[in-house]
Amino acid sequence: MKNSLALTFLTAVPLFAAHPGQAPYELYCGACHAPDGKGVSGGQNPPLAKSLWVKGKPERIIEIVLHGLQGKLQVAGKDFNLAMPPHKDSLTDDQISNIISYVRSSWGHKESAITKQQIAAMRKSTAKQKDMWQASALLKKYPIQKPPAIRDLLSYTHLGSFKTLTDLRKTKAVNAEEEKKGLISLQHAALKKKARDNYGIVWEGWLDVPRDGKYTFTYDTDDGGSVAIGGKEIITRNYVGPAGKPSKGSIKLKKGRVDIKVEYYELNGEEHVSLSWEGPKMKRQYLSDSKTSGGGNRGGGGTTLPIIAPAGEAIIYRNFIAGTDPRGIGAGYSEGVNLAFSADSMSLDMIWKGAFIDGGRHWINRGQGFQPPAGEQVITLNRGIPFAILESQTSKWPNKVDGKMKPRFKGYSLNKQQQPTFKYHFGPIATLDYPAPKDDGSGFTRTITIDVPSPGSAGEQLYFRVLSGGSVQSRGERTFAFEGDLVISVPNSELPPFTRENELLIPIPLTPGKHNVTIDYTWK
Amino acid sequence: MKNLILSAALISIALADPRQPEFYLREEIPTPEGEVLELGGIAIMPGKKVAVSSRRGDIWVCEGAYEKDLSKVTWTLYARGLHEPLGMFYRDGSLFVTQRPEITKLTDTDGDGRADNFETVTHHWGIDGDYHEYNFGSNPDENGDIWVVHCLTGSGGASQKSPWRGWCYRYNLDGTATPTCPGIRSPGGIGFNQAGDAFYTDNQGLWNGSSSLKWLKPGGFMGNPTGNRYVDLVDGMEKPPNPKSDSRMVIEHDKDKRIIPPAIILPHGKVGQSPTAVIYDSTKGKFGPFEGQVLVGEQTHSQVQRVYLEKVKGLYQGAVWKYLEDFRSGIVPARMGDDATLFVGGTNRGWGARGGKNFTFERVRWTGKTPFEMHEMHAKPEGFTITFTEPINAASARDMKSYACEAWTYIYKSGYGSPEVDKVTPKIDSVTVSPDRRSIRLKVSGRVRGHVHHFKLGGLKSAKGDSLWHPDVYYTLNEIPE
Repeated sequence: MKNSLALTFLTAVPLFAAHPGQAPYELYCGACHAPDGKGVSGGQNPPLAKSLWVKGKPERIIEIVLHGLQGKLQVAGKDFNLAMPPHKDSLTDDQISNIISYVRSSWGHKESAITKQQIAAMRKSTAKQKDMWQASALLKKYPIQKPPAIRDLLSYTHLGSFKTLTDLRKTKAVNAEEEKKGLISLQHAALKKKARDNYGIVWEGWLDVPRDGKYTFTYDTDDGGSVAIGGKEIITRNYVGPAGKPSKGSIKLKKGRVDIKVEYYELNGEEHVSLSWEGPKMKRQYLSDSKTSGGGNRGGGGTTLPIIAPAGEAIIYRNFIAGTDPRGIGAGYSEGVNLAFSADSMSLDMIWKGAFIDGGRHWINRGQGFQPPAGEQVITLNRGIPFAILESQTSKWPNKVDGKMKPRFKGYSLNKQQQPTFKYHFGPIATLDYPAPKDDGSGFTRTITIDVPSPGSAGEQLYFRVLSGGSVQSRGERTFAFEGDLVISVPNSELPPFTRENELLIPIPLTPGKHNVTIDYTWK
Repeated sequence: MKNLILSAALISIALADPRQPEFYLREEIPTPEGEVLELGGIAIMPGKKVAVSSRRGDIWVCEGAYEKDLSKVTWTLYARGLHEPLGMFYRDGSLFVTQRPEITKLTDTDGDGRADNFETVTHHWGIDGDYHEYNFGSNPDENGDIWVVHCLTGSGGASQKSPWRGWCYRYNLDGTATPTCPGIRSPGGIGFNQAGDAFYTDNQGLWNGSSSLKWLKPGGFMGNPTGNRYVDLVDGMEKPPNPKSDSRMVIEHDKDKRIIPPAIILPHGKVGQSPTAVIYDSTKGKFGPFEGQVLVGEQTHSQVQRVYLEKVKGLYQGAVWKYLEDFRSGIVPARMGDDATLFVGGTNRGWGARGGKNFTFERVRWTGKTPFEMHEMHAKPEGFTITFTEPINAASARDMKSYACEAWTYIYKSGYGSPEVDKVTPKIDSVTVSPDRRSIRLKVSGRVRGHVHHFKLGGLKSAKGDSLWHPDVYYTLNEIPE
């Protein structure tokens, strides 16, 4: 009897689970979406609870479960860029219908149940879908009906040369319009045919506050304006001038409805209005169709993780960098200069000034894609293998790898300042390549040592391509301008450098021993 | 009815294992403050040091990880700026790291504690910029070969630009590269059993019905033909098998012996969802009674499973049990440390895990108390023999109500995963208890070659009256011995 008691105890928990979809949901989906539907790890994975993706007609969620889903998307105001595998081959119609029915009736959802016949029919009708759905394509097929950001939004247009809020408030609206999209916008105002200067707009509506807590609004305008929440003015921009310096205002709000009033005026020239809010467990959401200008290159989840060299040091970032090859190595120097070296081609591909790179793309979520430099004055110096044996100075630069001169990356060493010296071979030729930042941050001084072990065949000449893909102009015997942005000089090389169309080459003698080359890169 | 009970009882989701602390002490090791240490690799170093590598590309060295008071551990930064290192070991003063673009030998030549020389051992394979092109590298085998499994491009592609995705290669410390096994999909870890044979874990997906532990038999084909295309790059290279879709693994193996069925199927959902690290218990009994058995990390369920392997008719097969759980993040690397301390690390970035924390570094030690568990499970011509860690209560063992059994397999097909198919209920005809009461011989009819055989020994008791800590076992029956 004891045995059967033990078994009863073991099964007791699931017997209370009323819905047949709960167990398979928790087993197959719970690891990411969490048993409580909120997404595991505090919402690092997409929630299903309160998700609009779950609501409405079931086709969208059925297709997601059958075929999988990837790409950037938003759930409950949060950005995700993950991948959910397809389940059409691993789960039965019965399991899928139970799971979806469970999800559609849990955590506040009150959507209809799904039958296994519906799943079977969807399998047939979507049989052509071989790959995982891209989120953007799926949303085109099954748009999500979002409630407007601002409910019952009305806009009132004022005309006049307003320089202050007082000026604006003295006038009466010439027009009132319903803004069905619920977003503050300069596109839908009754101004289309008129001059887009000397006007003002006042918007009124209400926000559905998701939970009690402190909310912060960010408002940017060209020219001025104000934001009032629940009758209290929390942002005042009595101002004529460009956007780019947004104002912030915070207020404690209770869950539920609160009125919002936004004022804006444009004197002349550029126009801009953007408004967003954020609060407890709520990432920034825009209440306008324009977003705050600036912000640079963002990572996958929109979060930036700037990678910064410690004082007096360099820092290495080895990942997928836009503008170099997959085996790119980024180095940021505390002098404020940066580079990207390709360990595929052994080319110093790019240099730039200012900020090094944003790790947000690769260090949040799965890390898809190539991240461009974060700074400015980005210059592509060369792409492709920079060493070749040419028949003559006028021979075309080869676009294929010469078997004899195959590049091999050998690694790098770091000095005490963590600055890399790259090591690579071309065939038997060993190379050390040390780009040193200039103390004043004006550029790099690069020292290359080329070690030729044995003499080349008679008449063979090695060439090092320093620049390509842009206009190179001589500015003296050993000084050149590249693309008008960079001054390059070659103070040290056995044979003189020379330019040809969009290229700067340095001949290297193929005589045994070490051949040194120094190149100076200075931004104008 | 039995099946219903069996599947219902499997749903013990996310409840902490209340019995584990009796047998194993799991402790979190504090990581350096302010650092995001999403562990991808662990290396045991001399002098009681442990190095860890992170998915962000840093290596830190921990001192004090073996001490009683873990609040006093100290960390030294060894390197930054590597590209997703997922495999690391120490040898002769250097750390060898398998990272995205290459295997690299890191050395601190000036003795300041920080690596200053990063020497490329090999960059034989291609990468095209797809985030999914992971490389997991082993410790070196006795020939000095690092075994590396190259994940496919994305979930199921093999980019023209990145040769040898979907292959296992051996890379010698001298840089030579040896193609070893095609057929890989999406690995989560690689390592050796006690006999020195290499195994890796592959995740459910295209051509992989369930996640599983696979034997990297040199020349063997692991199941996914996507990476076969690269043989065209080498003149005269043998074409790997081109399996038929919608078949069964053992059927395809019978047609082409190079197709190696998974040694251990880790039934999807039931045993885990994302298997990772492969190590074995090398502690000679200091980590409990499972000397020599293989331990497999599990990312999604934040666990470590236990595997008994045996070779039947030239193929590996065997049993898997749940073992350690309640880890705080998704377990990826694992290494057995010096004094029978198991180190594991984890991350949940991009792939959810029950543990709930974004990353973790933990250690596990045996308390010295032997859990009442199945010890080994052997396939026999007539059925199975199961051994136990403690003498059993013979009466409970002879009672047929103590057992439930079902068996199933997975479709071998090009699609993503497979449901459990061809379900049968094998019948236990008789149970024979050994004279020392440490093993039982089950005579079983209705076994099916190629099936996972799930036994639940729910009613079985030890001589002391204890129930099994883990009553479920899953045996992958690739071959039936004669």
